[in-house]
Amino acid sequence: MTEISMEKGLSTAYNDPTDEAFQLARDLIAFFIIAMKNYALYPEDNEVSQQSVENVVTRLNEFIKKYGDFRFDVKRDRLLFRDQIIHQGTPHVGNIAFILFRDGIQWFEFQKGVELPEVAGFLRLLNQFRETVEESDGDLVTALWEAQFPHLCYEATDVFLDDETLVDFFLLRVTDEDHRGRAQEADQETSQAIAYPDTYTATWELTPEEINKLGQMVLEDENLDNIEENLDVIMVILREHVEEDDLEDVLKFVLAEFRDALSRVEFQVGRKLLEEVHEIRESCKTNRAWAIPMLDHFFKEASGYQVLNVLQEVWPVLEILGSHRLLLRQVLLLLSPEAVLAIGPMSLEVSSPRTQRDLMELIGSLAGRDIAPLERLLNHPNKNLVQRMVPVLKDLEGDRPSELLLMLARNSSEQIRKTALDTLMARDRQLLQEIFPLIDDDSDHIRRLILQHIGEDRNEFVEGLVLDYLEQRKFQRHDNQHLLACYRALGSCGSARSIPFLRRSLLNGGWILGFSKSAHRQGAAIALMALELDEAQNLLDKASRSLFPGVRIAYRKAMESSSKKMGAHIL
Amino acid sequence: MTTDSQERPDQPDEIFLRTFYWLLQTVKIHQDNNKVLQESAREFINSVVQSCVDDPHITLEIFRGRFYLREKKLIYRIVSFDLVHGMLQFFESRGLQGLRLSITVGDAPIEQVLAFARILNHAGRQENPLAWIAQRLEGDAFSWVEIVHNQEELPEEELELRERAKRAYFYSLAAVKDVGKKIFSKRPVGIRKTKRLVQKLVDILSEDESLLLSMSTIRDFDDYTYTHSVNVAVLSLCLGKRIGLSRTAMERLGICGLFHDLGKTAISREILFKPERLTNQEFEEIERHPVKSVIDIVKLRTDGDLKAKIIPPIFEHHLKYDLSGYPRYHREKPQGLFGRILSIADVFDAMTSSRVYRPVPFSPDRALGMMTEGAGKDFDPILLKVFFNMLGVFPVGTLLELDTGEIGLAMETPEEAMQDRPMVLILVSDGKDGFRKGKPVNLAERDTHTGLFRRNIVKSRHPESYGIQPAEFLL
Repeated sequence: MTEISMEKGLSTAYNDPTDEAFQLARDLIAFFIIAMKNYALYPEDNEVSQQSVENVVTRLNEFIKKYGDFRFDVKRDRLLFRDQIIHQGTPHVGNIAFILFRDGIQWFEFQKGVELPEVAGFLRLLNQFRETVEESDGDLVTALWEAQFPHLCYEATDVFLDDETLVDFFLLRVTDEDHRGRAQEADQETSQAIAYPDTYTATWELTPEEINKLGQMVLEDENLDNIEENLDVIMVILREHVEEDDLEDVLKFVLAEFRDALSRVEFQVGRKLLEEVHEIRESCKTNRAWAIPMLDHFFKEASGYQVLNVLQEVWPVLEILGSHRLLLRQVLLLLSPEAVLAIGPMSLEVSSPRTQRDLMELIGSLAGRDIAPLERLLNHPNKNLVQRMVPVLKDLEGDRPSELLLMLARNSSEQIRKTALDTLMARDRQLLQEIFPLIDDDSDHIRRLILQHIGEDRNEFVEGLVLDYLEQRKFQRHDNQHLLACYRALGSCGSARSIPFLRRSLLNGGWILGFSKSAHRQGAAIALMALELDEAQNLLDKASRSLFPGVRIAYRKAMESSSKKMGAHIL
Repeated sequence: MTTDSQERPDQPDEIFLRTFYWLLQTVKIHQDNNKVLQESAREFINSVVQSCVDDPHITLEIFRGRFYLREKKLIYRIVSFDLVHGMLQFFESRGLQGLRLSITVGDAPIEQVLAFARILNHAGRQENPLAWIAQRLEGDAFSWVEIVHNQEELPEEELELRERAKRAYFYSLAAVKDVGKKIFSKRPVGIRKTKRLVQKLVDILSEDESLLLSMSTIRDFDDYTYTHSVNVAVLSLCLGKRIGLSRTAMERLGICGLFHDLGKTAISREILFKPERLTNQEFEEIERHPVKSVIDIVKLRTDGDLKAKIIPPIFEHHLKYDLSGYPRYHREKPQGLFGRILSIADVFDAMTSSRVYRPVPFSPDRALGMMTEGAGKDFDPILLKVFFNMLGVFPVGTLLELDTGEIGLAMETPEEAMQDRPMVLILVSDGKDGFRKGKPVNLAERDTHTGLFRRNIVKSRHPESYGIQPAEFLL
């Protein structure tokens, strides 16, 4: 971007603008405004945005080819081309004229050779600085200066400086008048006759090596990433210099730097930063106890969604930069367990199974230090989130995870119950007793799952539960399929201890009333088959030869069921 | 940077001056029909035509011992020093203040151009050269050239630039005060104004380094911290430009300069203006100011990236090159580039300013001399060399006593070849214990008969000892 003088601008073009030039100028601004709106509505790489900026550039080049550089004057609510209005609107932030005028731009010029990236950059800045913020860190003019677009030219006034009272020389005292006389005397005494530095050139001329080194110094500085340097300084200040009044401000800055480091995937910086703040917190215990609550608050903030949400942009990068996974894990482990509240919901957005797994492990580690935040997530109304978090409880130490799983095993969501049961069983099969009542759950899935866990291996304790359930007729469902499944589970987990009950159920059946008698017989036959004991086999043989058709039928159905199962298994 | 200017290819303005000079030299030794002479005339014509891009005329004039081309000070390289000074002497010895050449020279016969060159040459032997030239150039044959009589007034563009520079300086002063006050009273503060002003300073610097250096001589005994901050920013920017920093790096450097002493605003005036020796506790408070400045930066409403870039230099500006300064802490990394620049600018301005505990400051040349003793210890030796080259042996604003009995202010950094012979603005007593502006003289100027320098420096003094605000005279 170059600022040129008014004289030059006036002398270069438009000595004789025709009506056509005016029309073109007006159309051009109209296209520019459309592009500006599209840039505000759509991302830059969106087709609509791209097309609209291309339109502007095409028209600009057409104009410049015919009439030279396109320059317009800026007034509060309008743009003028050779004193004729080419755009007018109300003086507010939706009006391009107002945005330019507000920041002091008096005229603007697109020059020959203007290219699409320059126009796109200008549109970006216009939208960025559409609204002004009091005590901001820049405006359209400062941004244009920094962007230095080679073919965009403007003149800006010091709009916001005009109110300032300018000091002038006569208001400044160069020295204390009381000392002036003394100063003159001293100056007379100390001033020396000039010995011309004949050796000047030899002494002060830069050697080729020095010139080279200087160039390198500048180059290195231009490419220097100051972040670590900056953090070193801030940490020195935090460690040794900061006072109570300033700590909050400094920590806010550190927090912003931490967030930036995460967003730039500079996890080693983030790790270093958190490690140092942890160290500082430790050191504060002895001599600056007042700092501890603020440092704790820092970690709480650093672990919050407002900071960690930048990771949403980072997940895809991790797929490419695999080596960063470990670093990120190290960073996040330095956070407060409350980070779980931010990371948990974000994990739902992660598509990569590997990253999901990493996050679950991480959440587990954080919850291992304090399970309370994870508990809050497990009570979250978002069922998907709860379900995602349940498996984390598997490896956590203590009774609380089991209590939570038991609670979740009664969750209104079938999926959550199922996941909770799986997790619970994977964690501790002794807890089956606690969840045994779910054998009567309304959900087929849950019932099946319970029975599946029951029948997973031979277990005297579990056998006792099922035996008691069947023998004492504790089942609350009148569902033959359920009954058969319970018997099958008993056969899978049971032992010879169950044989007397099964004999009674199969051969006598007298104790069973009602229509489910046949189901009990069949179930008992199935259970006996599953027991795989000689005594059980003898009973089955006996059943096959029974005089009672009901017993023989039960035996036959059990055989058929078993064959089907076997067949299905073989297939 | 010196090398940068040496390696820079010929600039159009320089080409114009060179072809003019070449024409004046070759016409002395050749007949009109000589091919070399005719070629030099054609080159001169071409350079005039090519220089008339936006204007059908090109004006070359002398003001205060410097050439101005199209009302802009002619910027030239060190390698062109002899050429420029040769031409200056050529013009001055003929009383010629300037020439205005028209693009129509392109239509003039070669013979006319050669005649013009011969007139200028022969004028040196006339009793009243200027009148003689004027008389000879009268008539249609020389309609493409006219003599310029300037009124010792600066060209309009130069005046406008000076006004811009003055405004930028004093607005910067106001901006630093504003930021300091707002931070002190815990009010939110952004850096929009500061950024704009630094950008202005960078722009002015790109047009006229000497002008900006003149601004850095401004002193305010009562509000030292603020003028010091702006001066450090200005000196740092000039040094930054010399070493070839990019525009955006310059912007950051300028902000560092303006804010490097923000932390001092929290120090009580009792300490800052204490004439006696400070107690240890008071000294510790002074030494804490880089830390306080950083904490103040942290509170600014600006993006973290900029803060991250300006914090280290501000923290390091008293650290010294060998890390023996303060804040004291275990450190393995060397002082950064910006920190090293700020150190030099900071010390130079501090040494040359009058303070309550040191009413007699060091004159700029002596301050530089003392700083050289710290090369490699307190200061980066290479940067210090560049700084020295930038300011010259007698930095702008140095009060010089001449062997003619006159006193004057060094007003412009000479090129390296004549570092010890600056342009000087003679100061004349106003009869009321003060001074008024006299004429500018070039100490490199020699007597045409004896070949000796017309004026020599006897002593350097500090302007503050005489209550002189150099910028008031130099701007």
